[in-house]
Amino acid sequence: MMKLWYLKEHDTSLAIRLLIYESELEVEERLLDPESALDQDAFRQITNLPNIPILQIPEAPGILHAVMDIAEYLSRQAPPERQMVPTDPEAGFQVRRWVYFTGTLLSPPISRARRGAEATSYATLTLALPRLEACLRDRDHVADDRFTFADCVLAVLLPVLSKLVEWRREYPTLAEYLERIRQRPAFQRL
Amino acid sequence: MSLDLWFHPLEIESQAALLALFESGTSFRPLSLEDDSPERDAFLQIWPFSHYPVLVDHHWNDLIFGSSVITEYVHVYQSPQSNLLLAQSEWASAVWHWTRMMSGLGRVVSALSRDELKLKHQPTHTEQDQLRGLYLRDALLEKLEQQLSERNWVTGDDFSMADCHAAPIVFSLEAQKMLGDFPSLQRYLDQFWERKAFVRMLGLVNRRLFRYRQLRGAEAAEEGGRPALIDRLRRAKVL
Repeated sequence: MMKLWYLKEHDTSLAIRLLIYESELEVEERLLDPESALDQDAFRQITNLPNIPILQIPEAPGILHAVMDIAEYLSRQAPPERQMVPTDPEAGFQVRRWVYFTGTLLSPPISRARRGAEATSYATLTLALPRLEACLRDRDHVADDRFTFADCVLAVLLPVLSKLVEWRREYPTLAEYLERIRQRPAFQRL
Repeated sequence: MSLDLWFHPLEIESQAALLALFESGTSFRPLSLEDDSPERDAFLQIWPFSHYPVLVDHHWNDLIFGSSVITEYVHVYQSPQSNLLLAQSEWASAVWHWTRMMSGLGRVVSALSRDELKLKHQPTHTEQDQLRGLYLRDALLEKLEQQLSERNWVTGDDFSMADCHAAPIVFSLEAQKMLGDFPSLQRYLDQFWERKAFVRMLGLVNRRLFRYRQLRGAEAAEEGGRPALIDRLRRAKVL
């Protein structure tokens, strides 16, 4: 049985859980309470790396730390029609590319803005959001013509951004996209 | 030539991308962001982010950034004969797993170096961030040392994309004279001097090497019994 250790209200934890629900996989979920010494001890017995989420798997290497490693492993466990990272090389590349884009150009400035609302964070966001807006004018989903892990990563970040700054009027296509994702049963389970 | 790689010679990620492109035999034009090339300003208009490397494919009018994404793009669309992603490994996705781990380690090492090089009154990270970075760096280096104590290359007998990402990190540590505690990493780095792609990559980033030499490299590297780093760089005609 696969076991996911995750944090509440944590972007990458939410993205992986969304993938699990979209793929209808059976995964044991273990919420980690960062304030609990017992939880901290239990976590340290599994890994000495501070990364979260992690996925325990019944085969080598035993634990996956990188979010894309976790996503690809979980995707391979799902039937083809529910795989969130396509096995086709070109389609898989597009998913990894957009996950990297979101993880590098959107997630860090949002995290920084959450902590201190630096002006530079918003400057980066105003450069990244138009690219997503342009991308979604041509298709319904970020990386493919169907829902993929790239959508999981973006969909959990946009509500966080909404709490920090009003962006919907300036990026209407992105706002419509988020509304569509919100209607998905898997998203509502989060 | 339809491919341009914009890189920053001080960045580990840029060095990894350069190494991967040379190793895969891909034809491309390397363009350093430190040079005053006429294309530089035009490039900064289309890519205003401070994240590199960036590959510009003029034929398909596409722009790809991030070293692992660039390596995959080249493999899928340009040089599918390259073995960097197809290396035999002990379990499925080991190449990707180690590439991502090395990419994470590279970011940590770069951030720590930036903090060290910046003026003390302009810290980019809090003290807590730095301590977390140091812990993570040491934990990942120990994992890499353990992995390489039983293997020629990171994922087994075959050179792979994971090695393209590990080499610049190990080289950076060697320049800081930190490999003494990691004998397998030292042995691992020795192998790279035989690879033409590695020496070509160093030739392109040699300003960084000069900077290291000025800051701390030369005197430290010329100590000790094993071949000194600077001597090696000179023999390879990089310096």
